[in-house]
Amino acid sequence: MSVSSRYYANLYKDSVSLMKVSAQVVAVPGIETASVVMASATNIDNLAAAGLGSFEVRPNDLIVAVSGSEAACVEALAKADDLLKENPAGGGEDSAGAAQPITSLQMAVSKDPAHNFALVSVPGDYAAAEAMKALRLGMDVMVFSDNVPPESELALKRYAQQHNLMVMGPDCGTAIVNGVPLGFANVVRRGPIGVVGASGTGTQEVTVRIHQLGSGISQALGTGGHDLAASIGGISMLHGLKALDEDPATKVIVLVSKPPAPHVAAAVLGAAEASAKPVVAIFLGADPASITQKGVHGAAYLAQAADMAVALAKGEDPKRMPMVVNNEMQRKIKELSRAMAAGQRYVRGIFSGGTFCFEAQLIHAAADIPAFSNAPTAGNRKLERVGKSLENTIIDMGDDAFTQGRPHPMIDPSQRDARIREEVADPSTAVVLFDVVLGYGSATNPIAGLVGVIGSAKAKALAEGRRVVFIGYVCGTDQDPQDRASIVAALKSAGVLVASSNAEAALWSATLISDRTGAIP
Amino acid sequence: MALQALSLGSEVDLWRPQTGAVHSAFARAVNLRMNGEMWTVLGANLPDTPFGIRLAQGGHLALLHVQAGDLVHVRAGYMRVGPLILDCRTASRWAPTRWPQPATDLEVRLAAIEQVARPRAWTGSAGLASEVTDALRRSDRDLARAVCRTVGRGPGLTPAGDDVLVGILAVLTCGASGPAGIRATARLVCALAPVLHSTPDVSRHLLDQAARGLPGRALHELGKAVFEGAPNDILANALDRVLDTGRTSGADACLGLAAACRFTFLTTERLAA
Repeated sequence: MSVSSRYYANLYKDSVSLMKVSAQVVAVPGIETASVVMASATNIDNLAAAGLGSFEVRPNDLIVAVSGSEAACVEALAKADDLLKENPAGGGEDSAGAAQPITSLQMAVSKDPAHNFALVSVPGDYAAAEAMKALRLGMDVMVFSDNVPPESELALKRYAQQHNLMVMGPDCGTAIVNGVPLGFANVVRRGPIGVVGASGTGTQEVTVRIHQLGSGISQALGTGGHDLAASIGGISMLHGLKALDEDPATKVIVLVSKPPAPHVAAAVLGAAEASAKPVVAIFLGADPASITQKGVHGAAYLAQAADMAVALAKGEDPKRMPMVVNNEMQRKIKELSRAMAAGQRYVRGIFSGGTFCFEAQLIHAAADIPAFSNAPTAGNRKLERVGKSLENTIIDMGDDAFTQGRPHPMIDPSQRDARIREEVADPSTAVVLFDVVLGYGSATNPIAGLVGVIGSAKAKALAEGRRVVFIGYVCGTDQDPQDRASIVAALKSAGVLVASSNAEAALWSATLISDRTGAIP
Repeated sequence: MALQALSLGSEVDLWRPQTGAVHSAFARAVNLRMNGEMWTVLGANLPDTPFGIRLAQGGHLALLHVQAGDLVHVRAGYMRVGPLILDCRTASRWAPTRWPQPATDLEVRLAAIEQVARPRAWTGSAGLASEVTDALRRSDRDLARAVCRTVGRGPGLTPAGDDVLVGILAVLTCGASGPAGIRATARLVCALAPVLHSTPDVSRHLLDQAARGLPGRALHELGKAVFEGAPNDILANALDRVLDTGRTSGADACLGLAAACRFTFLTTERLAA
């Protein structure tokens, strides 16, 4: 095996672009590992740790490092070169080179003071400084980058708070601002429902469901996952709530988060109660009754929050309908369960969306099905060796443990596909539960490899006398860049049970596992 | 098109992000509606105003292709006004200073100002100035009647009656007028409030700004020169700058200023005598 690399001085690309290039480079036959990164100190260390070489470069430089057969490495570096040259650094606005490219936030403002929003996607070590520059220029900021220290996050958010600005993030993966999807976001209809979400895929699930129910989104604002921690105090969520309260296009507000720190929850719910507009709050894992108060409607799961918001937008009573498995599906699940081998007892949840993983764990736990996870919910156990599932295992493959030096599974699902193949090979696996997330930022064809993996894995299991059930959920809309209808059809034709929401998929899985183990769902 | 700003009025905040719209665009000034205030973009050849942005270049602003309704964005020292980008970061800031107590022979200077201003003012302006200042000595009802007859009266984008009131308010709100000025301002503002709607937008904002002690630089400097007892050439220059405002606006304001000075200072002097 050979290792090759190349660096590009002063070539900046944001992390999503880098991950896309990386995904295409690693697809070159004969390449085992590929890393396309900005040369931050952390990335240099990671490259060295991965055996991809040591580099003496500056943070503004870009490194492509590959390992594999010698010929493949040559081809991969050439491919990376082509891809990186497709859209030159700086994103000049005039391909003829007549206009001076914008290379700083200050230049952007001087070109047009109407610019009022900055999206920061640089290595975490530098993100806070860039975000502060944007705030000082009077811009609202979305910080896509993660690994920003908590003290920097607090400093940014306090500054923003003092200047009536909003910091979305750090680690804010999803937003829809004035109809423009940012980060990983779906193409949804504009409408009367505003969302403030501390979770990326949680916000995607709610916005997608609202679209599917015929309503639409005024704004979907992200806060980043740490915003509702005690140390930050929900500064961004409170700002987002206030912004939506003042937004004439927003009639109903949805708040999405994992359970906040108690005093933060009290502050957020207090602000929600004071809002002139009805608010649906989902604090995943919290008892909806504990959230519900005057003007605030607690939801138990993401799809339910969307259902309630749409009802409120129509002026209807937002009933919290219990989630049930209909008779036809119950019969089908029984039938599938009966066809399984005796040792097949466990669910293997393989998720690209962190909040989908979280919600699936909650729904299984509610059915008395504990699970191992790399991101366990309360009561579940930590999966110490993330590469190997134990009993019931529900994992988030978007977690750092899986994405260090590799593309996120939403961008490059090949790692997820490989994991699914491994899970099917385990004779104790009864159900493989997974998500497919569509929208901007996600892979162009997220099931390109999956259908083949499912087909061959099923055939192999069948040859061993086992029938593994695949339950999937496709989070997306008919207007996303990917063709949702054909993706759903392809999965169904591969024998996957495709649910209408992540919660429903998890409930089907829990019902089947309960049938296998005698637990009561 | 990118332009440099030369100076800014004391009340203009170009560092706080805000948006607005072009209210009206004229050859010499572009008025902007910004969060309930009226800002004005001016050429370099015009004097500052408290809500003014003076460009480093003079000339005909109509050539800049700004139109009523164009959006205005303010951020980090920059302004976008329709197709224009204004860099205001290095512009100097004009802020009015306190007027001194009037020097002796105030009446002589006021008479000189009136002598020059009267022929250039609207014919009814002198009468309106007297009527309002006389009414300030009488009941609130009399004052309300006088103000009602004055607001919106006469020709011009800023009607002559309004310009007279701006001149009167410039004197009443200057620090030198003391408590009597504060009381008179309060009464005049109460009388103005019900009838302000009857005058054009731009004029209404100028009256509102004058009532807050924020007259334009030309009028402010004329008042200071008059109170200081400045040499004739300085006084004449200051007067010329005011008279250069609009067709009759500057002259109308001068008549208001003179009448208010008499009301505030000469009456007291006479009483004391």
